Amino acid sequence: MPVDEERLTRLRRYEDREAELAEEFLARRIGPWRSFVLLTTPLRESRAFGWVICPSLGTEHGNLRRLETLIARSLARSGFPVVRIRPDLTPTRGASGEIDLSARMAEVEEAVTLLREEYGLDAVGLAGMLFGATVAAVTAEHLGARAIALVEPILRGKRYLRETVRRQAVAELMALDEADSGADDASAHQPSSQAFDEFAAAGQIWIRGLRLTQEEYERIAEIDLLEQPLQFRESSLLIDISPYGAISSSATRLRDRLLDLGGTVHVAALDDPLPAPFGEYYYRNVGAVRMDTRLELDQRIASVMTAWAVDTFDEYPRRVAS
Amino acid sequence: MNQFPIFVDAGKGHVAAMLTVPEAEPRGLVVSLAGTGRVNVIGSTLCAHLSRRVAERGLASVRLDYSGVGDSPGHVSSWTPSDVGEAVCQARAVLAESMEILGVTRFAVVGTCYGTRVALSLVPDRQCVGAVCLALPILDYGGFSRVTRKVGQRKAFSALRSNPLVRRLTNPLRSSVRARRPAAPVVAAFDCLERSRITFLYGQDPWEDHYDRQVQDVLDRLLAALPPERRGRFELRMLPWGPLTTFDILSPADKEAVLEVVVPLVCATFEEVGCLPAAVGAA
Repeated sequence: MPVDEERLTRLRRYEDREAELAEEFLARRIGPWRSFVLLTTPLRESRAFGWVICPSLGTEHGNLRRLETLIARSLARSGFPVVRIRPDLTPTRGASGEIDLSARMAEVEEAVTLLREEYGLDAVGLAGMLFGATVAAVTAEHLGARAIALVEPILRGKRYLRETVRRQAVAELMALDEADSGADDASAHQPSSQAFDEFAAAGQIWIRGLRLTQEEYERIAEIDLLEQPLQFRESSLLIDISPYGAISSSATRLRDRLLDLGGTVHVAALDDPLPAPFGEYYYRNVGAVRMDTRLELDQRIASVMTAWAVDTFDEYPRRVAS
Repeated sequence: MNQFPIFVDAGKGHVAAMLTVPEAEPRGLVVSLAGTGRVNVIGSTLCAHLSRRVAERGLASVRLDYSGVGDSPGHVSSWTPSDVGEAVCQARAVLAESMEILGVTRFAVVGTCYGTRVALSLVPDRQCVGAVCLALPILDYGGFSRVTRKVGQRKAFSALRSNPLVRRLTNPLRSSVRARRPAAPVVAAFDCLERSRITFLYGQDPWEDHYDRQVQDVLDRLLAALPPERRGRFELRMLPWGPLTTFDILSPADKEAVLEVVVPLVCATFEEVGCLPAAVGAA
């Protein structure tokens, strides 16, 4: 019996009548590795302003997928069509996925083109978390974005790489610790230095299951939102998260940089105890129960972003969707 | 192979799923069920890897994000392996839709951690030919723990219970009052061994894959009660790689090694169907 392709096509899309939105995996795939595209649209009244959510690079993207979903649905309920990019990690190139900035940037560009050309939207904004936010900031001017909404953006690629490798080292250390509880301080630094030795020898390292090539490492390391030439002069939202709700120095510096460029900037400081760092695995075991420590924060981020978008872009009123 | 992302109506909402279909007509369907860990792609990294491997062997597969996870809408604030009812409904909906699309009549299940409980809940289905469970939590907590778990979903109690000092004081009490017994889906799945092959995989000590001496004792007792021909269709294998619950961050070599074990086991469940007595495929 042949596969029922007509039914498969129908199931790519569903309508959530209560939330007044539809979600659809588009048939079109984007970027060099043919990532999937997930489009969330208002069911009734839609604005001529769409959003692309830029995925972060490493394993954090998996931990941010739920937040992306909440943001997409929240924006769509307020009339904004939203595209999410879903890298296909089905391993066609070896045993794992990759940390691939070049691919992510190409996907964002194609997603923007898709919203403009296939959905006829006048204006597009870019949103992102962590390095996804960095990608949004770096590509916004080139892609003619009207706005960027950045959640905890990484200002410097080098810092991102350092943190990523450090977390790899911690993961390896935990593994070592399970095998031999007598690990000392000296061995704590061993895994990351081993990783860099491997980098030098093979031109690639493995960061928590994902491959990072020397070429991509250097490309990421070059990025510095405070130093590199940016020309973005449109509207920006910076969402900064800390246990006390104070605006961090990095958010202040980026705000100043964006203001210097001539744009308008709104900073939203959210307080959250962050039991796990933002972008990390957010479940905590309490007895036999695995508690989600991030749900409330994710919902707040989605609400803040949507409220700002609605306030800022009221010149793009809702119109009955065709 | 071809991949088809879909949304399936699971009754209380839609769930996102990915159906992977081999080039030739599929000879069966593998349902991959993730744990509540990292969800880099729909399902999990293991599910994604598995989908390609089994497609190369003529099997279709489907993986899903449970409601409230990844691309599936919904809000779930806590998870526990002893309460998989909603996830089982979602998996059943995805399974039914996939089988109709593909026109296949047999399926096997593969699960990791929380997903193994969902997987074993599908084994009593007459069309299920077997299960491969990675890091299955075999035991359930007793009544006292169920009560504290319900109360524990309240914020204040949760904060108190996660306090290290409180935990240190109450741990001796907890271990003495919580009765641990094999979970109902495990017992029910063992009843299906006459027509299905079931394998449990764990990372060897020191990996924390829900396996310890107490689990071993309970499992031994369960197996001892089975007739030999049924016992012969069960296998417990300890693997030198782990923890299996964190497959996604294993080294490429370890991932490959785990897959080299899992894929043949999954395929074997389909190959043995013809030899088994019950009319597999009958509704």
